[in-house]
Amino acid sequence: MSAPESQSGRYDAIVVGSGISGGWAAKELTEGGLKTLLLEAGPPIVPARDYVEHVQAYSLAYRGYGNQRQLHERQPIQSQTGACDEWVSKFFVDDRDNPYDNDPDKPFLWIRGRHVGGRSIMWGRQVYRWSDLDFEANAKEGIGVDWPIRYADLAPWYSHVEKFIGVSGQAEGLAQLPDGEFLPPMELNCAELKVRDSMAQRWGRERVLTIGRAAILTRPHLGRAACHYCGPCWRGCITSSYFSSNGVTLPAAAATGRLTLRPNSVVAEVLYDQRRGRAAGVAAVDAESGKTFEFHARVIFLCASALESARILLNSKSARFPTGLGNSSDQLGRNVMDHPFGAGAEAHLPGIDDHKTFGNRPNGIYIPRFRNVTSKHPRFVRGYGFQGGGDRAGWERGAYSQGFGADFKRALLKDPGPWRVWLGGWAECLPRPENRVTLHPTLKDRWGVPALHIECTWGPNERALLEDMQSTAAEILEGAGARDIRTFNEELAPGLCIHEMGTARMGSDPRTSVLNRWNQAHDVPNVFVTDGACMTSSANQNPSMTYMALTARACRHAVEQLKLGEL
Amino acid sequence: MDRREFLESLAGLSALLPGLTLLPLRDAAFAAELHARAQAAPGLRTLTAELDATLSGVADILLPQTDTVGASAVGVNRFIDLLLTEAMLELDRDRFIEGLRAIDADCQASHGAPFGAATRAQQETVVRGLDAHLTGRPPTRAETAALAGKPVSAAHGYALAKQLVLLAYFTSEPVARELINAPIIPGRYDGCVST
Repeated sequence: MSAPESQSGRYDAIVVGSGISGGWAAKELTEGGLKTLLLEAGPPIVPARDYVEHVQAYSLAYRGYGNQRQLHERQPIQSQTGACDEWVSKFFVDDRDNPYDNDPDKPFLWIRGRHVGGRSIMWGRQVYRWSDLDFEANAKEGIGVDWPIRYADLAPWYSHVEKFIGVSGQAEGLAQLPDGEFLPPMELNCAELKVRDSMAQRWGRERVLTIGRAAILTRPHLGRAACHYCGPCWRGCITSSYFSSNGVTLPAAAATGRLTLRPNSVVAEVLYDQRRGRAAGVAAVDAESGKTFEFHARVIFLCASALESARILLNSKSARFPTGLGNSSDQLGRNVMDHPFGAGAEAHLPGIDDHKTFGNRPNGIYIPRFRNVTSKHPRFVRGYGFQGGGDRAGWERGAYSQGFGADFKRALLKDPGPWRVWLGGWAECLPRPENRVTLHPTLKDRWGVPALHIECTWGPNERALLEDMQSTAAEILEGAGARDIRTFNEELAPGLCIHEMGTARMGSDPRTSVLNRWNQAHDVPNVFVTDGACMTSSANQNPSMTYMALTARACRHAVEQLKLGEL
Repeated sequence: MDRREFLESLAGLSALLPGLTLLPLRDAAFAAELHARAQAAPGLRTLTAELDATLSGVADILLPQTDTVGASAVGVNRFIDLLLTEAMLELDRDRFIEGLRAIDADCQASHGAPFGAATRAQQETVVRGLDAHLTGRPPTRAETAALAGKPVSAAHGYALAKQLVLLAYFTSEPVARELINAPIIPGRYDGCVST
């Protein structure tokens, strides 16, 4: 590497990463008046060229089967997730260029997108508020450390986020899953209505089935068009009808005139100014030329994703911080969490075959957590929410079922097949310090940045939750009159839920946490980490909206502190 | 199972383990392809005339020409040949071909002729017998693991063929566009309407 070229003095803030958190940081900081440099490790995205949600299977070389040889060679990890398909495997990293390491008997699947917008393009779009059931759990149970904030601290920021991104959903008045600022809900389908009604009869408000709360517009919102129900959101959306950085926060940031977006900028470390006790900027590698750069600013926001932000900090070594910037607590890289999922039940639902759906709803149902809400479960703490939904089996049912000939063909062409319902749990994961990432002593990525060694396994509480999901899903489906109920547990490795978090947790005590109540490093006050790394516990809700709310809140604090001259 | 899960199950992704050592297959695969091409039926790159006769025969019994197009008319064999040649993992390709051979052997044992040379009635008898083994759902991870490394039976070979024949047929442009013709941009979602 040649000597770094200095790009000093031109920015108030640097944001590392342009995904869900980084896009929000760029918007809030620029709107707060800061000249902001947004560094993204991957290339730009051009929607007209890169989004392929309307491309049909017959237009692809392998019609959706995918080039398995190429995937096996270049993306054996990324292709474990369904979204890494023949259409958009390009939105996932090349595993050879982006290596990491784990013990063979402790698999961890790290699914990444490196391009402008990051995983906000392929994400699941489910957005749920947390409640104090979540924020207080660690303190009440003596697990990990206490969150330094409560729901009341975050509630206005959830509203701030929801009003801007547009969230469709149904208000339910449940304490454990607070309602938000909702656009009209999407419709439940016949099968889901049947399950909902049977649950209401049996469990009242204890177990409630509601439509998924999704960052997808059901009516025009702030200049963006409503969803047109084509279906595969993870392949992009030319109308920006679901939330992505590319379609929503980055245009807002750009509109201020204070944003500089620099793609292909791989940040290797945060630079520390020992004399001032502050971060001076970041060192980055140009992904295309391999040249190294230094960028300087008054405040640094790390939003590179939980493991990437931890990796950057671990790699930022100095005399003051020999094990990584801001790591005086030794908690940096520890407490990796991901949501256990892939367990539940599926079944056929008879009696409604004379009804069908129209359009492709890019959303499912949600059954908010009911375990350990009002009564204590004997075998585990915390809980899970069910996601899932009803649909018709389609022609795909023919691949595994008996039949051949003219009648078989006619049925597959004309009859949508039986109604099916599936329910799968998304469970809370407890923070455990031995689940951790460290810098690999020798392995480096294509750009020379040390790779991670990841050590993460499910504990007994996660396994008990996965077990309970199966019998409980079957119980719910049985109550709805379902047939052929089959429970499943796919025994998925951690990471595959793509909700990895916890590697730089927030807390009140600098001795046991990395970040304070404003997502600010206890040790280095002008460094903020607002992606999943900051999470002190995982709850069971999909986490992205909490990252957005925490990011916006932290940005407000940073802007105020800069104005006061405190940073 | 939605389309995505179906494709994943076909591609056998669930059987892959992270960190699996990537086999140095390139040169071997190249040599194998040259060998296969030398033997492939006209217009095909991997399937020999015998294998093509078996696959196409099974495909047209599964999805015959009626008032709508059948499997052969939309080139199901050509698309599967493309997958075998370019896209399928070598292991899956070899097992698929082994399965077609097992169907042939089954037909030979019952009727004294390979599938492609048997009468239509004999072919239907073979298909009926193999079809009866299908369970109505994709194999579980444990079931797939139990089959790994074992010879491919005719019933298993038939199951693999049926999956790809249906994929090839229903994703072909004539079938998807003209027969299924689902709107690409529906514009709304109705959750429960009478048929």
